[in-house]
Amino acid sequence: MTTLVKADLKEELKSIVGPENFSDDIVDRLTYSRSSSVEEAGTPFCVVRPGSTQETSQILKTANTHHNPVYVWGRGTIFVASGVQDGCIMVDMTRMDSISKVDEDTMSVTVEAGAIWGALNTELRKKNWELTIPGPGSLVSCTVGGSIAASTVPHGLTGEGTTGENVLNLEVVLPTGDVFETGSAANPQGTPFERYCNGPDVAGLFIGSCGTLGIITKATLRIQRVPEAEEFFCYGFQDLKDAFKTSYELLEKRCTRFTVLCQGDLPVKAAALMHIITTGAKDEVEVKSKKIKSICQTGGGKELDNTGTKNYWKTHNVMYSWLRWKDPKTYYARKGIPYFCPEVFGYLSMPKLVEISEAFWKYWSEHEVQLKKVNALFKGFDVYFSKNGGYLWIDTLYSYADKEAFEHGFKVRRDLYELLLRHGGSPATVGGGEMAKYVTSHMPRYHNFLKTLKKAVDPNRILNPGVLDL
Amino acid sequence: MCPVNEVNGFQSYSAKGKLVLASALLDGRLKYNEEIVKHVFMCSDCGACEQNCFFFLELGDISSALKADLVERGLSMKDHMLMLQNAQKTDNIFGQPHEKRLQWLAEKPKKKGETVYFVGCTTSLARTRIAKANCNVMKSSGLDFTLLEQEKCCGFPLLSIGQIEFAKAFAKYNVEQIERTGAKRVVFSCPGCYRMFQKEYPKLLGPLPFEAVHTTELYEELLDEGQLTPKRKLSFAVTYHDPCHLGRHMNVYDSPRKILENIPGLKLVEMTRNRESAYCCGAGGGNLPQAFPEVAASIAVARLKEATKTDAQLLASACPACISNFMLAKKRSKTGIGIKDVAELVLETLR
Repeated sequence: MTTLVKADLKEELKSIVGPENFSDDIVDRLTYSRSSSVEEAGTPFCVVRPGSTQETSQILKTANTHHNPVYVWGRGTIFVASGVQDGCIMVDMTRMDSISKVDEDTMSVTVEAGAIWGALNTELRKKNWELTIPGPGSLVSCTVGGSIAASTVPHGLTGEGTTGENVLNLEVVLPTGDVFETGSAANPQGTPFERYCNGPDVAGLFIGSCGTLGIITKATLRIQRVPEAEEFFCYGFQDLKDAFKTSYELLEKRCTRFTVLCQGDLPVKAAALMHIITTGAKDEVEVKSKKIKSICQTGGGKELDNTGTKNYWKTHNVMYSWLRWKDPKTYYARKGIPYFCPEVFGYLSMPKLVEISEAFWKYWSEHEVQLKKVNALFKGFDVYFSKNGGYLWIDTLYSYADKEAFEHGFKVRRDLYELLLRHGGSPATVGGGEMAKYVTSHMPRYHNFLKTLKKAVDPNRILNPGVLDL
Repeated sequence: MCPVNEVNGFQSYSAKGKLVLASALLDGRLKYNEEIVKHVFMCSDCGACEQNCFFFLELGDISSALKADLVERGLSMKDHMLMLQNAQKTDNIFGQPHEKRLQWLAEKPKKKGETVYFVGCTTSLARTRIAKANCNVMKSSGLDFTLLEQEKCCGFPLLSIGQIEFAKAFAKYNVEQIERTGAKRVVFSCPGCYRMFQKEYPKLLGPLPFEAVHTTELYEELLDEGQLTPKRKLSFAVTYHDPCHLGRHMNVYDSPRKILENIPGLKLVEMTRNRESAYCCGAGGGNLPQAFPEVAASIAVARLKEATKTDAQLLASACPACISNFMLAKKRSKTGIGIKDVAELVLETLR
């Protein structure tokens, strides 16, 4: 694109969002290239901050006229590659952060996409409401729109389902700039409270799309009354198969809001440590607690101190350390050594979770010499149980400053993704970059359908090109 | 979380933005320029980023190193250079004549004392009511204290704008002055000064030959020992703003609250964002209003509106910089909430 055309584009964008919400300064642009992953990415040619759905729509229309790619950005907290390319228009959604409506009649809240999960829940709690899912691990800083687009895995997954399951409606701006609402909000006389109506579940197309099919500008989420009671349990299992069998029974009986199973680097001598959280009305929690104790004890679990479990649920800020009873500072700060974590994750069925656990420990043991050589650290092999299986997180750490270790981290990531996919695993978030190509290449029929969709809604390939390898 | 990011919007103003900037300067992707200077120095040093950092990165130190690097290259904000020039000429950052520093004091301070009350530039020159209140409270308790006749700036504003050597010179001077009084304890009503003495002076000069405490910690002690007895009822609701340099930086959250809760009739109501999650007032220890007055004012307005939502009649704090910035922003915020220092409330209840 010529300098003259770019100059025109800049003026048009400034006139849409106002000069104070436009920047082409390199100091501003650089921040929007990398997400929280270590993959390098391109630098946008400008950053714009729309304050409304209408401004977002106009930006995309203008981008289409100029055939200039657009990338959409929440707070960039995701650990997968952003896929940002040089010369794109970066759309920062964080100016759109207000709560549009708390609807007690339909037990829902509608927010603009730039709202932060943690802040939203704080506001709801003032009126004794809360989100059914508090958000993903980064809930103190990540945006609602970004998390939905990335289909992040929430706390409360076991009882309340995925992020998507808690989304009732979306307002979306398509890559062409057209705006529409999903579900019951599609009816201009209707309100957003029911997802599965007026035809196919269109909202689902945008959940996990990583911004490739449209920009989410508003979301309607489920809310519930702040539970009367909550109980926390922690059990140690000497046998891994017993632990998974117990988890299955807990799922079957639907008595937990959240169940997490940790392996490796445990504070007690055990094959696995299980954390269980249950919430609800007082009598309901009493009944569920009895069931949980009975199932876990029968399953071979030894009841342990539940302080870590409680801290984990209550302090969403630095929670993972509590899963291993560790002080957050010692768990996260590896002083003097800048580590990066090439995280590997995916949904697996219960039988496959057992298989992959065995396969992972075998891999870790077979590669011990090389891993020791590069000072690799094990951080976590944890399962968040979902309604029908579990979400596995494999976290290992490698020095960012040591070239050999850094590259070895990427090698391990590829090996572990191969392991995950071979066992039927499916990542929730795919993102951009090398891993997106790798993962989608394993699912050609699905990926071909995505390509068809992409062509239909984004004929000029304007929005997040390359992400999801689209 | 980051008040400057919230006002400016672009994420380059956040802690992450500064990390990206630092990385780009180190590997040559970015050349030093005026825009970088603005981004680096537009920081209130509130510590919220470090408080919430998942990886416990020492973001405050990284920010300080960035500032020092720019200063070494002759890059600085014009208004910050003025602060430095003022400090060099008049021993305070406001450029006020040095003689004005103790004008609020009725009598000359004693040469010796067990405790020294280090007043600080802002309290001495802009918020003398706080200085007088503290002196009167300490007198009421029977504490043996004095002030430095030749007190100079603690050096904190200079350190926060990257002028380390000048800050060190002030540090050395003040410690020598205090040693001459024979005092074993120094009390601060300004958290900026308190933090400077407690955390930075040892790095600059070595271990200090005296103990350092904030006035709220002292008053809590005096209350516990029965040397301060609240008498007069103050029948209204108050909300307490945690100064960043007292709360997050020095971990003092309970002392001011215990004092307020001990005042008969007073009802303490908390803002949503309190203690470790308290929102900044925008003063940045003084350096933000100097160079970026609009940003400092916007942050203060947001905090005042948050205070008003508690329905409290009064906003109390324990920092003269916070009080100053709130006073400046009050008209703009269109809120009617009163603003006082904790020391002023203590004095009112003693009378």
